[in-house]
Amino acid sequence: MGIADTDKKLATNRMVFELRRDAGALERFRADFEGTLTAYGLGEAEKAAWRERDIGALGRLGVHPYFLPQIARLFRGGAYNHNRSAAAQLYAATVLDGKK
Amino acid sequence: MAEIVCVLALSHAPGLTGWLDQAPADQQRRLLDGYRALHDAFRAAKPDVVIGIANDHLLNMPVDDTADFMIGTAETWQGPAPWFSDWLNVPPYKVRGHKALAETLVREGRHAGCLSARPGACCSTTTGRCRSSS
Repeated sequence: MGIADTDKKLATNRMVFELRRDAGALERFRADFEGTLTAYGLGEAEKAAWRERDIGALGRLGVHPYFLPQIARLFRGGAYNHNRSAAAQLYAATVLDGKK
Repeated sequence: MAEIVCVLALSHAPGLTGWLDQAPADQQRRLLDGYRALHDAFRAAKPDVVIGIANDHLLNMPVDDTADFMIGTAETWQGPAPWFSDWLNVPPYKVRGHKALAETLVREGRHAGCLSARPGACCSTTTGRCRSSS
């Protein structure tokens, strides 16, 4: 699950890139989660991982490793993101420990 | 001919500003002492212009279209990018760019064969499309 395993054309990589840059896109993601996944053309395996908040699975599908903890921040927020924060714990549970 | 009056290097992990209080006290003290020394060296050097080199964090260049280098040629720079704002816990800031120098680096870099001429590899907007992440 390293950079070499990144699928550069994976729809999730484009979606996360744009959610981080575009406040409107982020707002739409929060208001219409399923609609956003469909709008970006995510495949069924990607969609399932997003629904389960399984960031480890997203990594195995080819999401860029730098995006993985940032996906945790999409769900749990980014402020005060120390190791015991909610976002860091979600990342640790699904990526480092392999649990959901 | 320009003169390099000072070269400084430092890390920029988000926890330095976002959750520094989580680090052991002695690490915080040594870190801040180091930053203070860099500050003093920077001030003493009195540079006319600063060339900052950093990674992009996939903020301006998407995963499937990354250039080896991107030279920002904007008139002004603002940060942190909204996505990073709460993470970094840094107040909004705006700094002037040096468009003429940046464009010189782009032009001469191409002549020297260090930069490709691929459109989109260099940012030239003043609208904030090219953002500093930290």
